[in-house]
Parts: sequence; structure tokens; C-alpha cells
Amino acid sequence: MECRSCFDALTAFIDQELSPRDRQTVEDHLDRCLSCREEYDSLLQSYEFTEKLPWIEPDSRVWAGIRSQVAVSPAYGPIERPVTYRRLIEVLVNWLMRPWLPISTLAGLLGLVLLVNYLEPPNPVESEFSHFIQERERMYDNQRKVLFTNGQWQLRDERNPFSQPISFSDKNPFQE
Amino acid sequence: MLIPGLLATLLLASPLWTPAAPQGNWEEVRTIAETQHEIVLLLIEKEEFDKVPQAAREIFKLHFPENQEHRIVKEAQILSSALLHHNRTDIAHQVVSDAMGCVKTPQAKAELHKEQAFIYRREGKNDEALREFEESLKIEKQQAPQQ
Repeated sequence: MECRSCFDALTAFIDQELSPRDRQTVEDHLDRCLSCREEYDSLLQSYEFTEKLPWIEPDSRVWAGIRSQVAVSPAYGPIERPVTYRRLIEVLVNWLMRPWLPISTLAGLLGLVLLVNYLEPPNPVESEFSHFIQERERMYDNQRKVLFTNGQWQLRDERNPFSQPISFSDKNPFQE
Repeated sequence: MLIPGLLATLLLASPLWTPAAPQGNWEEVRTIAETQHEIVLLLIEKEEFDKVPQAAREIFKLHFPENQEHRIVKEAQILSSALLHHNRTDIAHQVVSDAMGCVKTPQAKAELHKEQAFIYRREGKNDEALREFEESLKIEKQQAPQQ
């Protein structure tokens, strides 16, 4: 085995990804070659060192930055997009990765809409119309009650508008 | 017992009976309208909606003095309420429209436009409702300087 091949296989050797036969070949070479042995020891030391380090979850902005750079990188990007489009994606991704920004923007817009509605003078016709509809709805309920549930005599007008006014009192029907 | 029997007789005879339109005798007009109103309500109660516009027209075409036209408006409102109760907005529109053709005073016309607006509103046709309401306001506004 040549040093070059051994050097290329070292990572896979440490990760135990080699076949038993290749593994044996590398082991034989490492027993004989001092420089490759040193390289192997150095690599193993680095592996052991990194395993001892505590795991740190990167900030979401870091990931967003990496993703946006990968997206715009000519080496990884499948299609070369115009700069403005890439910039737009980058800004959008960054914007979405910070939850307080969209929430505060939406809250601001809602506040603006409410303020405009509050400041806008009400259309007099529409407010009069809505008042009329309320009154007519009340009348409708009343008429339905009278028409369909044998309403009281006091609501005579709601039953038949052509009837004579009732002139007798509640106490004495013969009293004019 | 006697009154429902009489009304039923009137109801059966109503398609054949077209009341005369007496002029000058308000009491006679009122009595005919009073009876005819009960007939119309019976037709609605029996859900014979197709006969309602014709029966209601018998009331509207009686010669009402102008100072009694508010009763026609009231009648249109009552009938439209009863018809809306049965979800018959089409007939309600027709009845109010017929009433509109028979009144002379701008006040009555304005009120009937409002009634059309109410029916449209009940149908969920807000634009048409607002248009009818604006029409009634226009009539009222034209009337205002004269009063």
C-alpha cells in the first residue's frame, strides 16, 4: 500500500467504515510506515479532542446565514438567479428566522388599520341605514310575534292596520 | 267559529271577488281593506304564496285618501314580515312594489323604498339595500324644503 492511499483511507479507518480486508491492509501499512503512523495519531487525537467538547447548538441566525450563503453560492446553487431575487430570498429568510419581527410587523399593520378606521368619519348614510335596519328588525320580530303567536290586542296595528282604533278602556269595554 | 267560517268563505271566493273601489267613503274602503287583509294573512298561513300578490293588490287598488296612505305602508310592512318569516322574499318584493305603484304621497313612497331595502338586506344583498335606502332619503330630502 502506498502512503497516499493510506492517507486517503485514514478517516474511513478511524470511522470503521473499511472492509476487513482494507482495514488489515491499512493496519499493516501503519505498522511499517512512521509518517503515516504519525498522521494517524494526530488525526485520532483530533477526533478524541472534538468528542470531549460540549455540543453547542448554533444560533438560528447562523444557520440562516449559512443556508442563504449556500443558496446563493454558485458552487451549490443549481441555477444562477438574478442578484435581486437572491437578495430578496436572503432578506425573507432572515426576516422569518426572527419571530419577533413578523409578529411586530403584523401588530403594527393591525394597529394602523384600526387607527384609520377610528379616524375615518362614518358615512352618514350608512349609519342611518344601519339604524333603520335595527329599528326594522325590531318591528319584524314584533310583527312575527303578533302574527304567529296570537299577539295581544294592544298590538292591533301590527295585526291589521285597517281596524278601527280600540276606544274602550281595559277596565270597561263599553266605556267610550 | 263564525268569524273563521266567514273568512274561509271569503278566502274561497277571493279569486272571483274583486271588491269595488269606493271613492269618497273612507269607512267602506277601510272595512273592505280590513277583511281583505285577513284573507291575505290566511293565504300566507296556508302557504298559498302565489295568490298573495293578487289578494294584496285588491287592498292597494282601493282608493285610499292620501292621509290614510300610512296604512298601506303598514300593510306592506306586515305582509313583508309575514312573507320573510316564510323566506319568500320574492313575493315580499312583489307586494311592496305593487304597494309602491298605488301610493301617491312621497312619504309613503319613501317608506316603501325603505321596506324594499329591508327585504334586500334580509336577502344579503347589501348594495341593492343601500341603493333603495338612498332612494328613500332622496325622496325625503326633496320633500323637506316644501314642508
